[in-house]
Amino acid sequence: MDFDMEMITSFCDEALDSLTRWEQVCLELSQGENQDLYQELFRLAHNIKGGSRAVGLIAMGDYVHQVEDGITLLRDGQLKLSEKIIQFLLESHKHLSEWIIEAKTEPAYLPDHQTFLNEFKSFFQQLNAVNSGVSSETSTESRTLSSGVHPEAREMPQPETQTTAKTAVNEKRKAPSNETIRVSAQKLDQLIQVIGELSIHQTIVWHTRGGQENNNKIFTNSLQLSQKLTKELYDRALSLRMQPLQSVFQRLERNIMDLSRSLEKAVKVEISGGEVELDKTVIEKIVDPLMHIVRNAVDHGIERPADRIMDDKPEFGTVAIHARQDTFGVELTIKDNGKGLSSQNIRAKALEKGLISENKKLSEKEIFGLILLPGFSTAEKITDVSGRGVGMDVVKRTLDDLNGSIEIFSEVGKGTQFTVTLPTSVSIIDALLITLSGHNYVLPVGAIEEVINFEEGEMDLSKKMIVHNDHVMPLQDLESLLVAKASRRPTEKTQKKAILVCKHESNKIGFLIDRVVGQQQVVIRPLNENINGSFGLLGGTILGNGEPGLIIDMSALASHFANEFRTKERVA
Amino acid sequence: MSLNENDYKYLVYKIGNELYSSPLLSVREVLEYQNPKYMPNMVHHFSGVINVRGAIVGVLDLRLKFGLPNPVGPKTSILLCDTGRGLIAAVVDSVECVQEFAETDVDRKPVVMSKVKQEYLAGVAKSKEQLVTILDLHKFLTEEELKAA
Amino acid sequence: MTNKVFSLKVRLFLLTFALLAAQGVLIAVAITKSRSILGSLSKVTEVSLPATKFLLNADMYHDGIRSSVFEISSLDPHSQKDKILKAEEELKEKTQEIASNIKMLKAIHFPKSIKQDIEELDKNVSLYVEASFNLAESVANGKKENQEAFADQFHTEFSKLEKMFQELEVRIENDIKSTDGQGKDIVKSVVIYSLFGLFLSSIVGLVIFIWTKKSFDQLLRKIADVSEEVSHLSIVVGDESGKVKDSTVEQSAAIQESVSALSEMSSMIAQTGQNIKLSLETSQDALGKSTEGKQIMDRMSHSMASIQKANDQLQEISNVIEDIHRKTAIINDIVFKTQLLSFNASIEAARAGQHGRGFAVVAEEVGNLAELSGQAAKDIEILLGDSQRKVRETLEMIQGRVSDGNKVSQSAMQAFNEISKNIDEINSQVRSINEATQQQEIGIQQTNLAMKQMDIISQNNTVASTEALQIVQNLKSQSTDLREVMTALFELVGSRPVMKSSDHEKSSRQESHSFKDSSAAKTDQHMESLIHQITMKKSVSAPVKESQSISADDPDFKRAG
Repeated sequence: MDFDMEMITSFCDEALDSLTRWEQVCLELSQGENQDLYQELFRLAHNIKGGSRAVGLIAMGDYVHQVEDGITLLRDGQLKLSEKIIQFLLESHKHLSEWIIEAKTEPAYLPDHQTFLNEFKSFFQQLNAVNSGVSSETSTESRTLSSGVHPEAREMPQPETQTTAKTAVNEKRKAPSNETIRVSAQKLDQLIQVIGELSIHQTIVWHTRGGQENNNKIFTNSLQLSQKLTKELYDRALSLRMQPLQSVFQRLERNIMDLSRSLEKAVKVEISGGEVELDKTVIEKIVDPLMHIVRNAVDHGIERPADRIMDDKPEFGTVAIHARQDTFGVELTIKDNGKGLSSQNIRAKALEKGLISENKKLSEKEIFGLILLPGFSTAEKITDVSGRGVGMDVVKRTLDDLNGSIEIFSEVGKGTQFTVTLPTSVSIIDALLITLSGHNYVLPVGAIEEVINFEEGEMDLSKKMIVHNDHVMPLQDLESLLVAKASRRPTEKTQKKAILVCKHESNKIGFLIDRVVGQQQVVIRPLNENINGSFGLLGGTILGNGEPGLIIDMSALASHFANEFRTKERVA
Repeated sequence: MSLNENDYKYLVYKIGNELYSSPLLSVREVLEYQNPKYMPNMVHHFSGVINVRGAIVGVLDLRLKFGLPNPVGPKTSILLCDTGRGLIAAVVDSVECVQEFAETDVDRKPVVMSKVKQEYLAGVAKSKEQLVTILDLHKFLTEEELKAA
Repeated sequence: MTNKVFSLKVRLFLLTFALLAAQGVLIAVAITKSRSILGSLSKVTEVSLPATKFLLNADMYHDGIRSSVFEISSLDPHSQKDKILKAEEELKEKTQEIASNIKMLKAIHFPKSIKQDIEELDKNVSLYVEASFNLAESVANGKKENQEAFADQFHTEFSKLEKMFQELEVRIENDIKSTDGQGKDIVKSVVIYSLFGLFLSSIVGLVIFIWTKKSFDQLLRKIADVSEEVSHLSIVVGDESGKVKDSTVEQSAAIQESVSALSEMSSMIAQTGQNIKLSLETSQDALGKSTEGKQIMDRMSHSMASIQKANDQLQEISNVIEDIHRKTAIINDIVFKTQLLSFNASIEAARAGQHGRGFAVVAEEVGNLAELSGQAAKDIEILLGDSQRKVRETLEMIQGRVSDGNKVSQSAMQAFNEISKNIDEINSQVRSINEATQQQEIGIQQTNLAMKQMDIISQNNTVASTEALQIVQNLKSQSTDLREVMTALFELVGSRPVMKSSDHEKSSRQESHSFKDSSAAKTDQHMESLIHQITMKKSVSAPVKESQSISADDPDFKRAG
């Protein structure tokens, strides 16, 4: 077969967009019937049908046509909306999504959808017959049908989803050129505008190069503006990578719905902040951890309706997903009103698994943090939903990789809240330039609470603890913590003249440094494998003077210090 | 010339007073010397990191590795290698030439007293009555732990 | 002295008071006396005159009654009844009149004796009136028996009354006459009183005068003593002027001092002259030395010029070498970079495999060219070495020159050292000159001080002597005044004992005169001459100063010349 790959790619992108909307409409339909929604669903199906046929994906077109027929029945009121039908619509959405992703690289791909289609057909026919016949039978029929269809429908696509997702990711890694991002026209317009301005100033700079004295001012001015524009350009270019969280949330919602159905739990999903944007890479990486968290919430958190009623709780459990943009990044909260986590149980389990020692004192927060450790699972028995290897430790690791963090708060009987903090962009941070023994380092501003500058002799640096603003905090020489003695290479004798105050958990730690050189935005460059993984380093960057700079991982250092500090204290 | 022809080409360089060489294709680029920025917790012969067109690249000083003095002269050069684990660079005293060694001129399993571990030695070539040690740069640069214990 | 308590004022006051008292007494006496006169006069008017009038009236009516009685008796009581009635009417009227007059008389203040007489008179009148009425009635009734008795009674009564009237008239007249005599007595007593008063006051005045005069005499005597003392004082003033003379001596001593200071000054200035001579000699020496040094310096600068020239040459050469070096460095750099390029080109070509074959050749060529350039650079390096050697030679040559120059400069240094030594000497000499001059200055200052002192003293002297003279003159005029006052006072007081004191005064005056003639006049003359001398000296002292300074400067100038 001859396919125009370009056409197919663009169709696929469009179709995937339509399918996202499709999913959304289905979820909305589950909240209540609405003629407009039917209309929209019909239009979406119709578009995909037309598009697929236009680019030569005839089989797909046929499939969508049949679904469209079903939607027509719904729209015209010939078919009554039921949970089953929504289920069916979502299944077909999943099915189509997989198909389209496959078709993007291999247009000739044909899924084994015939059985599904047949069932679908018979389902509709039956529905039709029942509708025209006895209505009471419909429900029983559909129930039997559903019990027949369901396991298949679930069993079949689920592993597939995962595999396809994985292949998709793999593909991206292998051939990033294939990756496409849909960008809003507004963003492009802004970008083009900035580039236009930049080119004007470039021209000015060109014409005034090596000019006379009087040109100098124009030159400098223009250069400054160019610099500003370049920065803006960079920001805009970065923002092209920014995607709203809506799609992720949709997937989460869908997952919750599926899961609750299969677990026979009544769950309501509350979503807000879908418009908050995150870097595409971050979004891609965050999906799995978030999925894990919501699954946990539904599986372990939300009780069965009967239990809930017994506990005097509303029958419907709630999973609230909320996103919020703040200065340092995005904060995601996933909150359920289920049975919550028992800190005693966690502690006992951690002891049993040897993760902590008997007499170790831990705060609530720290105890909840234990479930993030590898090899910790509180589920009594392994279900097919959670506890399948991808544990909370993976969540933690992924977030660490993204320079994000996770906090857990729970109350027995009331529910659990996961707070995930993520940087808006992984590649650009506000950084502080500091020196240690004459070597420059970079560290993220976000990790610093406060910088205390002081003059020589103003502070007793021999002390282990200092008091600042009525806070007692340990004082630690940053260099001796960061740099092993053997590899130390001081370039000059320096005076310690500043303290960086960092917050670790609820404690503050003062890190002694030579001084703060300045503050600037830096683009994080990953260190390649050869040199990566050095203790306390987050990555590298190229500084304004073209020299490479190393970025210190303050949170890692702080937690390392805190652990050591505690051990020492215990020994003492 | 066949594609193989390039396999016989070697980049000849000097460490101390001795000539060494590595297959031409194992070297990605030859760079002028630039002062590496210190990076903590690395082995003694790890000089630091440099900026190669926006990429941060670790630099090993082979002279230090061989226990030789490491002066910086006008001919001091950096060999940039693209290993499976990313870019890495090595400082040598000078780069001499690109030379073809016929396979016959190369002793693949030499028994020589060398500062280099046997496993990194790819052979010894004879050239103009000089012996040139052939180093497997990739192995040499990547297989050793760079992080200080 | 108890008199001391009573000042002259008091005394005069007392005197006046006494006189006034005496006078007052006299006046009081006179007034009382004249009062009594006035009283007697009023008696005359108030008593005597109406008494006489009433008495006369009564007398007259007494007569009238007789006449009326006679008429009645004369008439026939029956035929001429009308006439009798009319006469009776008349009689009644006349009795009434007489009663009223007596009554009036009774009202007048009389001495007791008269009053008794009047009382008696009154009794007699009423008896008379009764008798008259009895007679008249008997007449009228025609009772002739009674008529006679009654007529007798009437006649006796009438004659009795007539006698009483005459007596009373005499008595009243006497009374008036006694009043007159009383006035005469009063005038007499007034005169006596005044005479007595005058006498008393003159005695009091005399007593007080004598008392006052005594004090005056004492005072005057004291004044005389004072004037004597004044005379004595003027003698003392004369002594003072003698002291003034002493201060003039002091003055002359100060002048002596200044003269010695000036001579010291002149000797110092002479020393200065000597020092200046010495310094002149030294500077002459220095001049010679410096000329020598200059010659040496000339030589040195000559050598230095040649060194400079050589240096310039060397600089040029070194510049050239540096240029060449720079150029070769650039060439070397280019060669190095080209080589790197060729290596990288080779690598790229190798990576390109079959496609990079042609490029590999080019890379090789570039490498070769780079090598050639490197060779050229090496050649240049050799040339550079050559040049460097040449430069070194030049340097050596210059070094020789430099050592030459060093020698020259050393001798120059020596010369200059000597010069500086000489200059040091000059400096020290000049310093000593300076010191001498300073001392000189101090001397002059001292002189000035002495002169100033002298000036002040002499000024003081002049002022003092003038003042003394004035005082003496004042004294003189005042004592004269005193004398005059005294004389006037003596004259004023003028009495024998006073005259006696004037004698004493005269002698004192003579004494003072003699003093004036001898000591005072002498003092005056002395004073005047002294003042004259002082002013003369003062006017002389300035020129002396000038002449001294000139004389002090003179020899130095001569020497300097």
